[in-house]
Amino acid sequence: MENLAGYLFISPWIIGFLLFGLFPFLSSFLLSFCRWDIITPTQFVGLDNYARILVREGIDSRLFRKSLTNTVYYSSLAVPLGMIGGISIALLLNKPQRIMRVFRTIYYLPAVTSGVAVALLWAWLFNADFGLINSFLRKFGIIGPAWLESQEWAIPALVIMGLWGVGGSMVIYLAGLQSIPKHLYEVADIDGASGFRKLIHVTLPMLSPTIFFTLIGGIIASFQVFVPAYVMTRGGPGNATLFYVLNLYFNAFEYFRMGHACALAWILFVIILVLTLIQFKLAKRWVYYAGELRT
Amino acid sequence: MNVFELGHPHGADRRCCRLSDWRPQRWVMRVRFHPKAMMPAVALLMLFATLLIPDCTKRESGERVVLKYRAGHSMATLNGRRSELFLVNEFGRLHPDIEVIYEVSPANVEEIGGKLLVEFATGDAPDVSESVRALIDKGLALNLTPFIARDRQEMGFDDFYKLSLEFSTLRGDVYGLPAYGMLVVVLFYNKDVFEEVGVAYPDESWTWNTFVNAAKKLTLDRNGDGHTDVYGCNMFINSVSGQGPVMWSYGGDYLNDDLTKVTVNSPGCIKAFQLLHDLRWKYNVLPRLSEGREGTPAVMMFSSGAFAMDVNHAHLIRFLRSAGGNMRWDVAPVPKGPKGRATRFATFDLSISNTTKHPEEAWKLLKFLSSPFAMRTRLKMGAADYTPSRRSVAQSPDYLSINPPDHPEVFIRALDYARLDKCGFFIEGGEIYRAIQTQLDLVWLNKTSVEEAVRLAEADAVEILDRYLAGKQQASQQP
Repeated sequence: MENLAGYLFISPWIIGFLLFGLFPFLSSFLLSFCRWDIITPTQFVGLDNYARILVREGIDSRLFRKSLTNTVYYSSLAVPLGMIGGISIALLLNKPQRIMRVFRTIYYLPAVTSGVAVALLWAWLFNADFGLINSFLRKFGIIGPAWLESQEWAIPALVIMGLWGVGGSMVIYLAGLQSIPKHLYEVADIDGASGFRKLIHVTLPMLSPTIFFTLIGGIIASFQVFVPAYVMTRGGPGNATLFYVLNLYFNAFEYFRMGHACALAWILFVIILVLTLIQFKLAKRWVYYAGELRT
Repeated sequence: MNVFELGHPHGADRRCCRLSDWRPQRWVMRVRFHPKAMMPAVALLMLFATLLIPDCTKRESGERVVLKYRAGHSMATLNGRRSELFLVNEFGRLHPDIEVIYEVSPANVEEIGGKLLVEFATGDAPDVSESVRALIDKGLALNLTPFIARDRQEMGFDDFYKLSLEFSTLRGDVYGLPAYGMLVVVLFYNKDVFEEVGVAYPDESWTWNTFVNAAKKLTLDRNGDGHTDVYGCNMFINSVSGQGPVMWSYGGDYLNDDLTKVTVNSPGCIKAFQLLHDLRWKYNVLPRLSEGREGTPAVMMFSSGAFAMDVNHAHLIRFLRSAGGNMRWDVAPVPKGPKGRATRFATFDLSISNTTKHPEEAWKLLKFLSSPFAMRTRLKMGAADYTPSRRSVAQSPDYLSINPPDHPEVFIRALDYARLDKCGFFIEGGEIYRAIQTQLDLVWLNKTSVEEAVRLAEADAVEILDRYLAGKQQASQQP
């Protein structure tokens, strides 16, 4: 009887998971071994999709490598900068004064604005000829780059655009900072530590679980970047902003190569899984939970 | 104290926290004898049960026939929705036994094909919806030729411009009707800037060389700060709307006529792309941002006087009217090239899905939506910025009296030299188009030569085309 209550309570989630999680998960795996364009019946092709992506030299493997390179480049810029930004702002705003609440709200606001509208706004800002950013730079005599129209600056532009959402991770770091016991700082003061030393030897180690959390989340999210590229550049110029999920989207919903798209999705899954496992292994070295002692 | 210690029977002393100390019965016992605690679970289940209620909007087909009409993306504007709703109600008045459910299409043209494809797979496609040539290629539209043969006189089929039917005609059979109208790419020009500089307005004698010379004169740096304030011209150099008029007038094209060969690596194409490249990098008459999609800054900048000329789609008129301002503008035919004049052309058609349960009624609806009355209604309600595809309407005062521009007949005469974009004819065509544009992007950035880009584009396009042809061959071999 008590088991029935338990099952009833979790049944909504279980049904949702089975229908919208597990079933598509499994069918996409099976589809990745087929060729399917929605109208004609599926056609089993074995490992052909994977071969086209990973082994055979051709447009598919070239686009796969290019999109993966772009995504890794974006991630390697966006995640560290986002974390540094988030921690810095959180440290600045971790004061007891009430005015801090106003600033925390201001910094958090961009994180709740939604994708397409924000992307269009930033497309205007980055306009090479008439946009605000280049106009501003011109006042100092700097001729701004072509941002979204240039191959070198397109991804940095998207990274800059993503940085305005540091408020999201700032909130998490604030929570982490406020759970650091004050007596640790008092001990550090007694030992004569400077502000910088306190940061390195007290704050960051105590914050390491939070940092670990945002690192994993940040890597997973940045590997799936899609909306800015889709709205602002559509993968251009010259595939400079063709991200992995964007390539997947084109194959699935514009070229109707569902099998190929599923294969791409599963390869991404494996890549992110491996990266996450590596992070967990490395975490044992630098993440200190609840101030445990390490010898 | 962490959360696991809070409710622990032995308190906060962690040292005696062994697995055997945790006995779940303590927690669940409270639930077991409390009927009230079951209520949330039961309520949630009832909520989920409501999802199982069948779709009430689907009616059983009895006396009334129910059709689903999804308007095309060109009618996604406010006026468009009003006009289509009005027409649907009119149709209901004339045919009381047919009910039409009206749906607005997604405004994003790229999503239409995907949405329709999924609906065909689930058997839920609208009876009348926008034609997608790639889907016609897959056999998903109803063949209208027998219907037209029967009703030719009554519907005034010969009133349609021949070219406007080409988009939905496959191997001689008609699969759609151009209800909303036709679109051409023409040359828009800013009269104020032309007069300021003293250049004669564009006319039919202009070649691409004349165009370039004029653009050079029309590029202005008004305050001498080194930053160009007015660019001589704007073109969508990274899309077929800008490449087509130039490429075709030089005798080149992406693919050959029966879609069996990639022809992008040809002298005509190379000369055309070189001209477009030089517009930006040699003559400096083209702004850095000349890539166009609806709503992007480039589309709106002509109305703010940033360009003296704009080779753009005819429905730029919609933006120019709503943008306001008092810039005086007009249209002219696109310049001609060595092999003649050519411009890009598109129609916005409606077709009937071949999974429809009521072909006769759907045909009645389609005839009505593409009738002269419907087209005139759309013009009057400000819904159509496209040229009507029926001669009787296009040459009537309803259309010709719309001013500005001073010369709307430019749109009609453009039909003599307008062409459809072949890459829109089949799904892999979209992939080929993208592969070509990716290589050409490097040309527009001045990173590579036209010859090199075209060579790489051809290699990619050939791979995709081979895949398409192999797939077609396989499909034709199956029973």
